[in-house]
Amino acid sequence: MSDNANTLDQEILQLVTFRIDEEEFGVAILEVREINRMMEVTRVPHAPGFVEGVVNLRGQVIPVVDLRKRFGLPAREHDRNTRIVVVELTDKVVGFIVDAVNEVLRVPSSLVEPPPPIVGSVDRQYIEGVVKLEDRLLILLNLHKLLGTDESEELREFEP
Amino acid sequence: MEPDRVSPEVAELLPDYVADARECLERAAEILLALERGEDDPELRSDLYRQMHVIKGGAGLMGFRTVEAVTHAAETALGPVKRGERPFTPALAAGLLRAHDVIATLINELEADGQTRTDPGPAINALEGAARGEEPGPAETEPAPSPAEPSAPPSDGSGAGDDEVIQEFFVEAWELMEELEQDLVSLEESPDDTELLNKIFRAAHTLKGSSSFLGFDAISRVTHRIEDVFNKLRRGETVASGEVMDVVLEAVDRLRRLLEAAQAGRPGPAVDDVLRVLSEALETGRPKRLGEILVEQEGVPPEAVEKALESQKEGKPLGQVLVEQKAVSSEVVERGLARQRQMRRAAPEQTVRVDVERLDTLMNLVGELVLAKNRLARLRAEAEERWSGEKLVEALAETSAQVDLVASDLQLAVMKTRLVPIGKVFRKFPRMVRDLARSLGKGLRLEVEGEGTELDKSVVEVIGDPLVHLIRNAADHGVEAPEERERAGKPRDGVIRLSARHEGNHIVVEVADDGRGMDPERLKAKAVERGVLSAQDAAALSPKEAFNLVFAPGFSTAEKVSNVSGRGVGMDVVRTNIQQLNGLIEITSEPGQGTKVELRIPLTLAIIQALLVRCGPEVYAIPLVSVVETVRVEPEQVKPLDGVPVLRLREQVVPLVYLGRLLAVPPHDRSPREYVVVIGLAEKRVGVVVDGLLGEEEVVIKSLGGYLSETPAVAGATILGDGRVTLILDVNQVLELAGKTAPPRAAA
Repeated sequence: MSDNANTLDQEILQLVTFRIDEEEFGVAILEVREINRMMEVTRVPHAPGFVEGVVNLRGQVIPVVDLRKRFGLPAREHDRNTRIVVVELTDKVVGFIVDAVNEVLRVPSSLVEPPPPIVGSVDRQYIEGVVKLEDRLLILLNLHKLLGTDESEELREFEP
Repeated sequence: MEPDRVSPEVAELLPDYVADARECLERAAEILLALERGEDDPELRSDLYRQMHVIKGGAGLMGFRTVEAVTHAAETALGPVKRGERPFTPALAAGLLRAHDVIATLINELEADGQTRTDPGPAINALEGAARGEEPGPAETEPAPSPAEPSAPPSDGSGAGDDEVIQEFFVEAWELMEELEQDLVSLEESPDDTELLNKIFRAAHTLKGSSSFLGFDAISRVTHRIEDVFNKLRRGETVASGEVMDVVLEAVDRLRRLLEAAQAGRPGPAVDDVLRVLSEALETGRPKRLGEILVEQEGVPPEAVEKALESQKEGKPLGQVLVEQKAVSSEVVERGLARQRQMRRAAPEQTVRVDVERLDTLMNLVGELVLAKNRLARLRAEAEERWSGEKLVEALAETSAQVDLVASDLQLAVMKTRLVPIGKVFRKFPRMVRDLARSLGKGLRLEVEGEGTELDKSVVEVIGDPLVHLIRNAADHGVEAPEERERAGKPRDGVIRLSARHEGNHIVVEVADDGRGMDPERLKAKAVERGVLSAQDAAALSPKEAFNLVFAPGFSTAEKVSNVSGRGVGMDVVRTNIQQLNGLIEITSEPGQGTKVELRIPLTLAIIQALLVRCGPEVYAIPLVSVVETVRVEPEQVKPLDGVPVLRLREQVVPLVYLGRLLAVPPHDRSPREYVVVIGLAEKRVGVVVDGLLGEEEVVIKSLGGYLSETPAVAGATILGDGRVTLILDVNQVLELAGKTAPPRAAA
C-alpha cells in the first residue's frame, strides 16, 4: 500500500540499458525506436570519426554512431552481442553501436542524481545524471549532446 | 462598396470560379500587352471584352458585387473600342491593367479569406476616367461599324445592352465556326500541327466561354467537349485519327444547327448523342456504333446492317430502319441500344483534381518499389546461379521480369502525372517585363519559346523565383537605356528571350538579353571592393569564373539600388534554388552583345540512372546524366601536367582525380587496370579514376539526413539491389574539389 502511494507522487522512468566496456548506460525508452543486431555499414567519407557510416533500416538510410569511438575508447571487434540502438531525436533517426543491450528498467525519478565530477571514461557534458541502483551505477546519457546537435560539434571541414 | 463574402451556398463553387477567373485574367493580360505592342486586331479586342464578360458573369452568379462592378466598368470602357468606334489608347490600357490587378487581388482575397478587403472604387473611377477622357465627342463618326455586324445599332457608348451582346456573340460565333471548319480541314492534312491544334482549342474555348455566359447551354456543352478533345490532341495524348475527326466534324455540324436555331430564337436539336460520342472519342478515340454492337453481340448479319445504312437517308435512326426492313426484331434493337447506353454510361470523367501531396506519396512509393524491384532482380540472379534449371527459379525469373516491366511503366506513368508545362510559370513574365520597361524607362520586348515544355511540378514551383530575378537583372543591368542602344547601333528596344527545351534527361531554361553584356574586369573589381575575394585571387580568375562572382552573397554591381534590383540578393536566390534542384547554371556573356544565363535542371528529382563504380572495397554511384564517357587506361597513359595527373583523350586533356584519395577510402591494393569515368558539367570535364565499373542501376536518391547532409562530394545515398547502402557522388562538388586540388596555374 505504501509502495503504491509512493509511486503515485513520483514519476517512473523507463530506461533501456546497455553496456559499453565495463560501464552501464541508460536512455529513456521513449527515445528508443528499436534495437537491431549489427548490420552492414557503409562508410561515409569525411564524416566525423565516431560516425561509423550509414545503414539500411528497412529502406531508410540512417547514420550510425559508434559509442566506443564517441567516448574515445579503444575499438573492439563487433560480436554476437553487438547491437544498434536506434533512437529518434526530434526529427533525426540515428543508430548507436553498443557492446550489448541489457534490459528495460523502471526507476523512480527520485533515484536520479546529478552527475558526479568524474564518471568513468565519459565526458561529463554527455551525462544527464546517474542512477544509483542497489548493486551498480547507471549513467543516463544526453543523446542530443552526444550527437553534437547543439552545434558544439560540427562536421569536420574537408581538407584535401 | 460593401466587401464581398463567399456565402455558404456558393462556397463549393469557389475553386472552379477562381480557376476560371484566373484563366480569364491571364488571357486578358496577354491581350492587353499585345494591344499595347500595337498588335491591334478586332479579334483581340473582342476576346478581351469576352474575358471580362466571363469573369463578370461568374461574379454575378457567385454574388461578388465588387468583382462584378470592376469587370462591368471594364466592359463599359471596352465596348466602343471593341466596336472600333474609339482607338485603344495608352490611358485606357493603363486603366484596364489596373482593373486587371484589382480583380486579381479581389479573387486572391476571396480565395484566401472568403471575403474582399480591397476597395475597387479607385480602379473603377480610373477606368471611367480613361474611357471619358479619350472621348472626342458624341458626334464621333470616323471608323464605320465593321461590315460584319450590320445589325449593331449605333451606340452612344453608354454600356452595351443585352441584345447587342447577343448579336455580337452570333457574329463572332459564325466567324469562329468558319475558322474552325477550315482549320479542321487543314488538320486532316497535317494532323500533327500543334499550332493548328492550339488554334482550334482556343476557338472552342472562346465559343464555350461566351455561349456559357449568355446561357446558350447546349452550345457551351458541345464546345466544352470539343475543347476537351483538342486539349488531349494538343498534348499528344490522342492522335487526330480519321475516326476522331469524324466525331468532331459531326459535333461541329450540330453546333452549326444549334447556332442557327438559337439565332432564330427556336429550340435547337438535342445534343446528348453528340456529347456522348465526343466523350467516347476522348476515351478510346473511337465510339462504338449501334450497327457494330448488333453485328458483334447480337449476331445480326453485317449485310443487313449495311443495307440499312445505305437506305438510312432520311435521318431515321438505324434501329428503326432495320426493324422496318424486317432484318431485325425490335427487341434485338432495344437490347443493342441498351448495351450501347451501358457502354456510354461507363465512360468515366476526363479529369480529376488531385492533391499534390497524394502524388508525392505515390512517387515515394514508386521509389520504394523501384528499390524492391532491383533487390528482386538481384535475388533472381543469385537463385539462377545456384539452382539453375529449377522450375521454381524459372517461374521466379519470369515473375521478376514481369515486376520489372510493370514497375518501370508505373514509374513513368506516375512521373507523367506530375508533369506540368513550364508555360504556367512563363505566363506572368510578359506583364512583369512590361511593368519593368515602364518603371525603368526602357524599351523591352520579351520573346518566349517552349512554353509547352513539361517538367515536374515540384521543379516548376522552385524555378519561378530564379526566373523572376534573372529577368529583372536582364532588364535592369543587361539592357541599356534607349539612347545608349542607339549610340551602339542597336535597335532602341531591348529583347529578353526566355526559352525552355528538353535536352536528354534535363530541361534547359534560358534567359538571354541583347544588352551590354558583362565585363569580367569590372566584376572582379567589384568583388574585391566588396571583400568577396582578394585582389590576387581575382586576378587569377577566368572570365567565366568572374561571371560566377555574381552569385556571391551580397554581390551587386548596380551603381544605385533601384527598386528593381541591386540589393544583391537576387542571384543568391537563383543559385540556392537551382542547387536545391540539383541543377546547373551557366553564364555566357559578350561585351556589347548581351548575356545568357542557362539553367539546366534534371527532369525528375527522385529517381535517376546511375553508373556503379568500385573503389577498393567500396561502391559508389555516379549519376549517369553527368557521365561523358568511360575509358580503361594503362598507368603509363597518365602523365602529369603542371603537377596534375592528366589523361590525353583524343584532342582533349582531361585532369584526373583519384576517387580513393578524394573520398579517403582506406588503403587497398591498387588494381592493375584502372578505369576513368569522365564526368562533366557545363564546359568542365574531369576524369575520375576508379578500380572498376559495375554497371548501371536505377537508384532512388535518399538524403543522408541532416546530420550528414554536408558531406562533401556526396549528393545522397541509395539502396542497391543487394540491400547495401551506396553513396551517390555529387558531380558538381567533385568537379569543384578537383579544381581545388589542382595547384594554381600561376605557380607553374
